[in-house]
Formats: sequence, structure tokens, C-alpha cells
Amino acid sequence: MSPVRGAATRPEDAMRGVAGAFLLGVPLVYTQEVWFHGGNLPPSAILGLLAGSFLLNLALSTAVGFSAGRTHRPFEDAVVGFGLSFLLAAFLLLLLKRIDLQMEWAPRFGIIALSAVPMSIGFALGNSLAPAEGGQLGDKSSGGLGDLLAAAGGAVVLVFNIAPTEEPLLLAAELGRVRLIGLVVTALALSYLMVFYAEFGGKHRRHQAGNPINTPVLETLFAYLVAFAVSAGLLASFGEVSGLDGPSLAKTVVLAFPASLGAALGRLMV
Amino acid sequence: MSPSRQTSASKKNRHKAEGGESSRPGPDENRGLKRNRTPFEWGLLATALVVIGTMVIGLFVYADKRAGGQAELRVEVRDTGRQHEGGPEVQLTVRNTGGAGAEQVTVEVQMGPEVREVTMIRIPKDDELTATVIFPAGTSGTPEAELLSYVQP
Repeated sequence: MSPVRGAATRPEDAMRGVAGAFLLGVPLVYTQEVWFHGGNLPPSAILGLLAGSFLLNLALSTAVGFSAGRTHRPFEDAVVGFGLSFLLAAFLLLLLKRIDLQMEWAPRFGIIALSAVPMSIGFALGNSLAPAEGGQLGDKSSGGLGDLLAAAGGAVVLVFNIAPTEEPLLLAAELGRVRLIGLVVTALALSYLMVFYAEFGGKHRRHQAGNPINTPVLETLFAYLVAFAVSAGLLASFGEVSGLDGPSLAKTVVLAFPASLGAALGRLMV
Repeated sequence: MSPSRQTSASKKNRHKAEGGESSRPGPDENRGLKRNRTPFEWGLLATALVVIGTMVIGLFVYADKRAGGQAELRVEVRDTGRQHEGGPEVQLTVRNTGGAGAEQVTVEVQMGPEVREVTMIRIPKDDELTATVIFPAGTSGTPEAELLSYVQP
């Protein structure tokens, strides 16, 4: 094979797209109307939506793209982002038990397709999620507390419109222990990959930071704890958790999943 | 060499030294499906094409099935967490995702040893009906529901 020239896509680039897909897609996956309409809309309407969103993906891949320097291959990037978004949506819907192997196969396509639309847009926008060289406030607020503050801010921004809704309660009531643990593991893995693996700006500065909290694993764990605390606080504010019982813990774990993604984005912004 | 050309050349060299890999390919290379790709890029592209193809075919088959005019009922049940005189409240939802309405839809709802039957008169296509079932005080367990029968008009 002749050497590949041009800006080849690397796993780090794809991870940037995955990060964008989850950040834009998760709030919609936490919406029961999507579960309902995905299984009930006429397939022709869903196909029309998919066609429209593919064109939008193509335009976004031309202008932005999930991979720096790749806007000269918009069609291929749009196809890749679009296809992978279906896979990511299916994974998340399975994890949240919105689709399962027992349900009839036909509505699954509708639910996955509808959830994948915002995910694909997020995938195409992946490259512009965070400043290319890290946040402008990096010098002032980097370090342990600054990062955790940014994590709290990002978590609040992403889940403030999810916390008062019925969906986290509905999901928490239906998810078993295995799926809840799966949510925690997925949240930790995604946060780590977004902040320390994807080629967002400031990645190398983070790796080299001397603060003990800024070791990748510890920072990921602390940021998740912050996201968890933010979720618990918001749920308590809306009267949905009352103590350290099982249902309250389940509700908090469900809400902490999008909160941890917001926390990762918050840290990337500074 | 003029100062301007010198600047241009040094920029070029610096770009090369920095890896230069982000430079765009020429017009005759790396275009279309014949473009050189890394194995990772081939993997991404192949996966994406297979998934998109599966989704589109699946949606077309789904559309064809719906056009067949059969009712498709999906039953969901959940404990609302509310209590009525000590008895748990359970919410039953039946969705008709098929291409025809259903009548006399009978669903059995069970919680612990207690069993109740709910009959819904009519559920149009692309619609859903919700019913609330109150179990006696002291009933506990995970609610389960099973579609017993329905009539297609």
C-alpha cells in the first residue's frame, strides 16, 4: 500500500466526533417523546428526517468537520459520522433499556434513527467543541479546584433542563443494577476519553500538569464525583431524592451520566 | 532571493518540519473511493456504510410491514411510586405501532400475587392508551403486564 498522504483520520479524531455526538445526542435520548415517536412515526417520515440531517451533516463536514484539516473530504466524513451515530445511539438506547432484544424489531429502527439525528450533528461538530489551544482562562483557572469548578459548571449547564423532567425518574425505575453500573462505567470512560484522549486543545497541558488532582485517572474520578453531587443536588432541589436509599441513588446515577459529559466539556473549555 | 520569497520558503519548510501532513492532497490523488486510506479509515468507512445500509433497509421493510394493515401492540407497565390508601399505583400503557386499529384489547397486569385484567375499548393506529391500576395495600413486587387478546376490526 502506498503511503497515505493528507490528513488521515486517527482514533483521536474519531473520538472528538464521538464526544460531540454524545454531548448533543444525550439530552434527546433522555426525552420520552423520542422513544414514543421513534416507535410510532411513519418510517417514510423518519427516512425524510434522515435525508435532511445527512445533508446538514454534509454541510457541517464541509464547514467544520470532526477532524481538523479534513474539511476537504466532507462526503466521507459525513458518511462516517452518520453511520457511527447509529451505532452510538443503539448502544446508548440499549444501555438505557429504551430498546431491547425482546421488543419487536421494527420500532427499534425508528427509535435508533430518531436518536441518531442529533448525534450525527454533534459528530460533525466535534472539531469545534472546545477551543483549539485549550481555554483562554487556562492559566488562571487550571489546576485542581479550577478544573472541578469548570466540571460543576458544565454539569449544571447540561443537566439543568433534564433534572426537573420525568425521564430520569422513569429510567431509574426501569434500570437494573447491571445497567446502572454500566452507566457509571460508560460515563467514566467517555469523560476520560474526551478530556485525555480526543485531540481537543489543551490535552498535552493537562497531561503535563503537576497538580496531583490532574493525573488523568484521578481527575476523571473527581470530576465524576462533582457531576454526581451536582445531579443529587439538582434532584433534591426538585424534590426527587430524599435520602441515601436505592431509588434516590438510581435517579442520581441516571442523571450523572449526562452531567459527567457536561463536566468533561466544562473542563475542556478552561 | 527576495525577502518575500524567502519568507514563503521558510514558511514551507516550517510546515514540513511540523509534519506537513495536514496539507491537502493534489487534485489527482486521494480523491473519491480510490483515495489511499489507513486501515482505521477503511474500518470506519466500511462500518458506517454497513450500518447506514442496514438502517435504511430496515426502515423500508418496516414501512412495508406497516402498510400491511396489522395492529402491533406494545405493552409497558411501571410502578409510579404513588400510593392510594396504602396500595401501590401502577401505570399501564398500550401503544399501537401497527398499521391498523385494535379493539377490545385485554391486558393482564400482575404485581406480586395480585392479578388484574384491564380492557381497553379501542386503540387507533399510531396511538396509545394509558390506564392506572391500584393494587391492594401491602402488595409489593415488580409489576408485569401481558397482552391477552385483542380484536382487529
